[in-house]
Amino acid sequence: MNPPQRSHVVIAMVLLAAALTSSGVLAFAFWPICVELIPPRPGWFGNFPEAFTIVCIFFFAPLLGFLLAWLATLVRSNRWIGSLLFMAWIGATVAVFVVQPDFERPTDLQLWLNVSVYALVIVLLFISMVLALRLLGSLSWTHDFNPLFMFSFVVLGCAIGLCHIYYYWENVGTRPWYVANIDLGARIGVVVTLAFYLIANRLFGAWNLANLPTDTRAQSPPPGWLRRMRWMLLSATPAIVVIGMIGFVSAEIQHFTIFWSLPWTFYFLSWLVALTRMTHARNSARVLVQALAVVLLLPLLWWITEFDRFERPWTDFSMFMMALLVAVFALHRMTLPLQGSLLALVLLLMHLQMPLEDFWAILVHVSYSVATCWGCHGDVVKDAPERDRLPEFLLCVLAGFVVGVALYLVVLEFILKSMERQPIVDYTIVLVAGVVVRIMPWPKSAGERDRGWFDMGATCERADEGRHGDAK
Amino acid sequence: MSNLPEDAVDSSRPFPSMLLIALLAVGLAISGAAPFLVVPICLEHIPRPGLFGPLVDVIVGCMLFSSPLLGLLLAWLSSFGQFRSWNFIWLLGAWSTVPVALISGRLERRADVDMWMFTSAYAWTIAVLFMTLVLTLTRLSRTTTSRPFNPLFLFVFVVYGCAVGLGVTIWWLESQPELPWTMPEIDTVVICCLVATGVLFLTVYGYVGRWSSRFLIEESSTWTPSPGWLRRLRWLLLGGMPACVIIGATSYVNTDLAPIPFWWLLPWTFYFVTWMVALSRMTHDRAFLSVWLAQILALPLLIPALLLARALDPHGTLQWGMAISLAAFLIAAFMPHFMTLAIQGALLAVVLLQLYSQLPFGLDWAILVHVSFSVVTCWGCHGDAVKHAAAPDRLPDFLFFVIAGIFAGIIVYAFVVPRIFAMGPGPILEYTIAVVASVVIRVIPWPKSASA
Repeated sequence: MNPPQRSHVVIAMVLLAAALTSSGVLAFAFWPICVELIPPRPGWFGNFPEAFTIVCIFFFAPLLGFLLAWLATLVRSNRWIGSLLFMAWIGATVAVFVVQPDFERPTDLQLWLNVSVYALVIVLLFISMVLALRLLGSLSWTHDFNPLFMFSFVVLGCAIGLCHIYYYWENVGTRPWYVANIDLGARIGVVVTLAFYLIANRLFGAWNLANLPTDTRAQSPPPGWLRRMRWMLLSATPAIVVIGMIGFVSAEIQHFTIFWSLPWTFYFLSWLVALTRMTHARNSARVLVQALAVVLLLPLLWWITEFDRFERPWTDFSMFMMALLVAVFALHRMTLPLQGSLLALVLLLMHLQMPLEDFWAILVHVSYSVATCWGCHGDVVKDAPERDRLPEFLLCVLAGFVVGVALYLVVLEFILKSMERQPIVDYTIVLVAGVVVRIMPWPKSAGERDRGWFDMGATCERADEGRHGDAK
Repeated sequence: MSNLPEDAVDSSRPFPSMLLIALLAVGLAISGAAPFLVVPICLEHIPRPGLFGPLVDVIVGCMLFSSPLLGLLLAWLSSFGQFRSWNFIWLLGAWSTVPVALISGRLERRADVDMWMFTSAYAWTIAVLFMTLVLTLTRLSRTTTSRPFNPLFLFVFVVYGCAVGLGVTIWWLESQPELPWTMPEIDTVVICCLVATGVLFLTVYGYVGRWSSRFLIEESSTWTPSPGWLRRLRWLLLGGMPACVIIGATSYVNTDLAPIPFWWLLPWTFYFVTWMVALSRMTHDRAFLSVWLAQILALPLLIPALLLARALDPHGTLQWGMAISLAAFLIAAFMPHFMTLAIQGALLAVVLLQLYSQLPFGLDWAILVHVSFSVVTCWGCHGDAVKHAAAPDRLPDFLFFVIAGIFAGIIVYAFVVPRIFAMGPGPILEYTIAVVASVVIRVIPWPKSASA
């Protein structure tokens, strides 16, 4: 096979990175549009049920996309799936431009029509994303390239999308103008993203078409259910810890209007760090992506004004941010003892009424959640399967997130509702789970057996040394 | 077994007989106990006032305790050449000087000179004993067997001997028991035991050589690459840091919390228990009966600590607290190794809070936290050290650096660091550095193997 031209590779990768980032942004872009479309109605719950349903739909749409992408990889040849996807894309693009939202006189029918179209777009975006990454993994590279690295751009897009939600939330007065423009931008974004995917796929396929296998099913051994469950738990736990922490800090320590944006930004940042560091040995790309991620912190500078209520010098704020940055950029192997230390502090703070100022108490809670995010995300990416199993991995990870959050918010609350100090008990369970899920003896990979509870077989590293070499 | 080459396990080839292994175990235990048992004998012969005045006890102790290190150093140096027949001749030569040294040491007593001769003779015997021990274990690793066997596992018995020797010596020095034998008789018995153990090792060494000559693995196939200095530094630190933490915790509790007589015996007992757990669990792939037996064997070592607790609390008013503490320490020493890092991190935070904040910790809780942290640190670091041990043919290398780490750690922590921090906050800062360093050395990215 002739190696691809470098310029083609660069163009294709840049286009794909742009498409992936744009997909991440679009996953969040439709929320405010749909919430604006909810018809005003009096009632006990106000507009809450609709808003909640819309958010759920937009959470489950990516999951559906990943599920369909995974199913597509189970069939022998996915040529007809490609055609089907292409047709669906054409339909969705047309629908996006035909079903125009009317912000002046919103109706129920229009709301759900728009929600359905936007959800379909998100499903298609996520299917295309996974199939593009899978194609990338099946190509021959001059160096060891893991397509999972490219998923960092999706996370980057999601983080930007979150900032956009945050902006929407904070600018109530300018909403109609802002939402109308976002709607137009999103529709144009859908078309551009589709074009990027198509061109990138074309470029990737062009150089390697002759070598693509006719049987597109995964050839590597399947990962096993315990390992899948590990991916799900490692993905769910950080999200739950972040939610629990936001709830606890807001309810028990200090109430901030937009406190949630801080831990969620670091949540995405930890995904970015994990995806860049754990998929490549050493290269400039991962440093660049991590540097890019720091830009995400800029909106948080505005958030610092919220700290005014503490009346503390700027050095304390700097230390606050520095501590979180250290937690998210620390070496991954250091996260476990760091998590242990912070867990002990958090538990002492909560249950022994340790006298600590609110400012530092918040720092301890947020730091624990950041360390947990980076630790768990690092673990899950490190444990990712072979490239041909990427769709399955991404499905499990996202399913873990969605199912975990749902279980935490609904089931755990229902089980513990009769308990005294129920939110604190909820949060304590989640905090401990953040460490336990990392130290449980999970099977490391498909080929290895479990570590076992008594560490038998710990001598494996000596096998690395091999039998060869001289005695000098 | 994963740490042996594939051709080292052959079902058609016999495993060394159980009698041989049992005899070796006894010899190893005697070797471990020797440095401790010889201390009271040598101290008996100290003329007072002597050349070095009150320092003489310390010097005698240092000579005897550093003799195993000398033996390991000699074994390591001798392993630089490939296994050749001259090793055996060299060992025989070294042993031949022992009777001469012992006899010269027992000649007519001439005060200081005689005492130093006597102590030197014992130290040399122990050094040669350890050298022979390590070379015998290393040679044992070069034989093919019908089932996996890592000779590092047998070092459990050396640790066991150390723990028993420590207990007996303390009992001897503190209670001055009325023994039915005179000191010269005890002296003779100890010498006979040491020489008999040496003869046993030499016999096994020769026997394994003859036995394995039929089955010996190709020399070039078992001789693994050199581990590298960073890896050796890691062994050194992983060996030394737990000892520093134990000393720090012991002195902190004694000086700042509650001076309890013989309190130090408890953490040091757990120190040896964690070595036994590490050596038994981390050297085998599967849960053999011997692995469990070795861990069960560690439990009787706690009896002196229990007797001590009973003596301190004759009315049993604190029995529940003591039971909880003991359970916590046992959990800390026997928990799965992969949990130690997280638990160490959690306990580190509590230890630092106890040291530097004004939190109202109860005395018993404070002691519990400090001891638990030191036990978890010991198990974590020892487990790491054994897990990342060199292949069996590099056993002398590994053992030398680990034991050297223990000595270096104790010397640096007890003598060097106090002088450095003499003007500062003092012992608490030293202790803080030790506890933090014990976590840091476990998480910094060391090279995993020579090829990594």
